[in-house]
Amino acid sequence: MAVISITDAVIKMDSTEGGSLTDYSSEIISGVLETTRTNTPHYTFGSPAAKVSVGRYTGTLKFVVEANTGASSLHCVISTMALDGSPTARSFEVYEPSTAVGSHKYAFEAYSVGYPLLNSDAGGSGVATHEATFAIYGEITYTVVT
Amino acid sequence: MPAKQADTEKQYRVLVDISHRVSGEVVKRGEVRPRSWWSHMTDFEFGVLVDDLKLIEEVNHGGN
Repeated sequence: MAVISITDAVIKMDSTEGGSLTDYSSEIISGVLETTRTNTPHYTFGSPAAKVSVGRYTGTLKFVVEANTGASSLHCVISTMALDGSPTARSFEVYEPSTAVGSHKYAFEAYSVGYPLLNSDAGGSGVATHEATFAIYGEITYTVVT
Repeated sequence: MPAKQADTEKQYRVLVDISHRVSGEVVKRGEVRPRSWWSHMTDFEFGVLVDDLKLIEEVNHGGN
């Protein structure tokens, strides 16, 4: 086993609806894939503590895009998704730390649910970064790469 | 007397859900695949799967 570096990950997504998975890692600055499970507490007579009905999970993927020009740029791809009048879910693959043997792989479908189309600041650092948010549709398939 | 089983014919049980690095095929925990399923891996890499990462185990290993 090896310790995973925080600086390593691979994120792939469909470049178009129904398109092929494309590795956009070189245009992504940071990313977070997380799940939230909605549990419901209830109480019974005589007990000071809650019992919990375990609920189901929702998944969210967020990553920060290095904004680039051009139709093939990730910024363009997600802007198109964000403005699509009738979007369909796109396929994603997230690897930690890489696609090599032993890495963790998460595969799922997701919709764009939030994207700042413009993030400019005359007094800023000079690099426009945009945080994209995706709501995961259905299950996340977790496997280890072999 | 039957010939000694070739290394490529050994069977391995998957201990966690795994995916194939090349094809992306998913194999669920408990399923069995031959060594040839990992034909894209060298013996060294395959040894890492078994001994270091413990993602798979040889069937009949330890009497199973």
